[in-house]
Amino acid sequence: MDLNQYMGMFLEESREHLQTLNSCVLELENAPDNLSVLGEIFRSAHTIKGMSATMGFTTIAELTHEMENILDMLRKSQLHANADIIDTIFKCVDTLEQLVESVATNSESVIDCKPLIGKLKALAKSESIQASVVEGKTENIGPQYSNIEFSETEIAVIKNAQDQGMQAYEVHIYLREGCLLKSARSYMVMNALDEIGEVIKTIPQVEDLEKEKFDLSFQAIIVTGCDGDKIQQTVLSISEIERAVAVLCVLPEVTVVQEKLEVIKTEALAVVPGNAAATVSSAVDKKNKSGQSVRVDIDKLDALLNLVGELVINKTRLEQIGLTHKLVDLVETIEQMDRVTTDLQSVVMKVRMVSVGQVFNRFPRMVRDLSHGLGKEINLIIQGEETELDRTVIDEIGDPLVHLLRNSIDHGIETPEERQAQGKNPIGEVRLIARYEGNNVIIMVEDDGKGINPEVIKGIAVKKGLITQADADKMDTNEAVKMVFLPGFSTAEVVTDVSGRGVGMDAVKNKIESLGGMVDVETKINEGSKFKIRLPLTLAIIQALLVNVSDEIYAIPLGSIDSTINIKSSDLKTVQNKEVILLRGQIIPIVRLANVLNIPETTQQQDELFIVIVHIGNLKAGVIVDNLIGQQEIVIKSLGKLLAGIKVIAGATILGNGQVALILDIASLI
Amino acid sequence: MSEQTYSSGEIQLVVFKLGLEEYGVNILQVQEIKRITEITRVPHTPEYIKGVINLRGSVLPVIDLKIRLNLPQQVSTEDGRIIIVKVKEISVGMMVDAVSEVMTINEENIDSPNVVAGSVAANYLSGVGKLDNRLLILLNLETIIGIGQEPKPV
Repeated sequence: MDLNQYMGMFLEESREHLQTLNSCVLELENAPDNLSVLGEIFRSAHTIKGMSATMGFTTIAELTHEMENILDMLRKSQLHANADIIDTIFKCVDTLEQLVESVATNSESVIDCKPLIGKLKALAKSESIQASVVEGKTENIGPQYSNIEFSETEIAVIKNAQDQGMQAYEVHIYLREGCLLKSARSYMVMNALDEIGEVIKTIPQVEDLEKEKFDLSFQAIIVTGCDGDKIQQTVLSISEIERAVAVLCVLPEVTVVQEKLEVIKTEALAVVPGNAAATVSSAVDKKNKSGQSVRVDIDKLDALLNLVGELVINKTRLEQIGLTHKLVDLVETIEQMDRVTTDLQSVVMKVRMVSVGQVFNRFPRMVRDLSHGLGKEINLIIQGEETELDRTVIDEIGDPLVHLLRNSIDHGIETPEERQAQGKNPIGEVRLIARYEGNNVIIMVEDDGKGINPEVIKGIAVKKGLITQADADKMDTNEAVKMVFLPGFSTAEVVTDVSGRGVGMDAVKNKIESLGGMVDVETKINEGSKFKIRLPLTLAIIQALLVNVSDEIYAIPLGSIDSTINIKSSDLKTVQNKEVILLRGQIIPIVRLANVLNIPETTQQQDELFIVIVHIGNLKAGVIVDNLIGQQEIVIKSLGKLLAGIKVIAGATILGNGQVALILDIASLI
Repeated sequence: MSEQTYSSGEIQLVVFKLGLEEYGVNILQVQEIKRITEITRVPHTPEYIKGVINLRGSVLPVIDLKIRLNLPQQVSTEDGRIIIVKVKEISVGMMVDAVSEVMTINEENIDSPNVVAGSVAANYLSGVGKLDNRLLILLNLETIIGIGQEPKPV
């Protein structure tokens, strides 16, 4: 069988599951008793094992198999997730990542997993002795009350659920004879049960159900607020189910280990209440998402977007024909079409949108490793992961964010001792926040560390010859801090491997600007720094104002326009020989577009001037144009390789009459 | 690429006029020939870049060959055309005075451009073809388009 055609799918899904593993293990580290997280880890590992075995990647399969053993013991509470185990699991995930990548690059795998597998085996063995003890205990209590054995944790969960007015049911499910896909049926049953409550145990175990290692019946223990009838109905709603019986599960009266159980119960109370409800809903959410999506090659989406772009151009052309020839019927029809194309465009745009969570996901793990390595304690807070950005932006935004986070962790957050000495919480806080702001998405990296000292920045900049001492003296705090974005600037006195190579911030700024965005920094000494990235939602179709300069037409992106005003030429003032205007008490520098664009000066002096007030961040400027044509939707086209990198031009677009108009790069005008 | 094609037996050329001289480019590099349409000037580019045109929805730079080759400027006529060529995945339009024909030439009849060595434009030529009484100047499109010597923003 040719497996190559499945390769792409295998790689993509493996990466996805590894990502899930990473974030779930992190969660597990914080809440070692959370069974649903364990369940998810187990499922991901199991899927990777299955896929890799099918594809013939035995090393991956072998490693995941050993890992699964440990996870299974954790899940059955035969093992407690201590730091050693978590670290080992992380190592496994890292190794798996390397293995998967080596498969992707087609390089011979030279990664030796033996030590890791040995370690996993040792962990499993050392704990299995304890495990047998625990099992022994449950057996003592179990038999006479129920034919199902519960582990202590399971008992605790059931007890806890009962305290909350929920009940545990033992559901016996009997499949119809001749049922073909038994594992699929059992999976559907589990899904259905998951929606009305939480399945805490199945007999036989889930993986045996998946492998069809059961006859025609199986059992599940579910904790739910529904009654037995409801459970039976739910199960029977699935086809090929012969019969379902839900019996109230009676917990054995515990006398011998009562005391111990009490302890567990209180512990469980602390951990479980929120979790039980939350995990059920999150599990349902996930299922909804994965059930309805289709993987599409990004190239196809790009082609679709291009076609929609063409359609928009042609629509605009038709519109103009209708207007010039005064064809009322045509204009009306085009208005209809306009609505459709606008919808089509927004749908295509949305299809290409991806939530920033995809990028944010990998940061908790990175922050954990970095902070451990630096001996710092850091709490990473992520907000607004659901914020969506165009796919092309998402692909590019990862590296700049890594740089910013590394900087915050390495330079921003102090060591716990330093923090305590200053009366701060010894645990530093780094916040990664995404949100919408108009037509932009804002991503912020904030820390509550030591902030950036402008004097230090000035000193370094002078020392490195980036500015003169005289310049430095004139600079205000804001300007000084912005110098961190200058090429070849590094603030760390010692170059660490985490950050401080002096290429970071410069590269961050370039990358963000190449995406049509901006990055800004705010800082307060000893209170922290805030890096703010502003990105456009999409890169392909924008609203723009068309203007005339001499007989040429230029487009100014509407996003950077404040207002347009109409003034007398006598309103122009000069400050130090530079033209400015006074607008609502604000001095705004004037840019004569004709000069910037090397357009031969028109001899006729206009008395009335059209000025477009544009802004980039807090900077404003007034751009003098000859005439305003109007607002229009434009499709951004690149000028091609040959003309790339022209300073004042951001791109080109095709107007309704087929003519090419250039798009101004406002950032370079100010 | 140009060297190889010229040295393998016969080649087909698109022949066009710049002033009184006749020039040729390998037909395999020509994508299409277009009447001169509206060209949008692009500021801050070298003088020989005339601007950009719309070719069925994509934006294409256009080179004024006469400026590029240091030839005297003339008033453009009805015969003016834009030849769209593709070199190393880059498509570019070239403004010429007129496109006359497509002809086949044997590589034996192509001399090296050194015969005109010393002229400023020698760098842009790949050879001179002799055909009966006519001389065809063969262009080196890579240097004309400026691959490897991208126009610097002013």
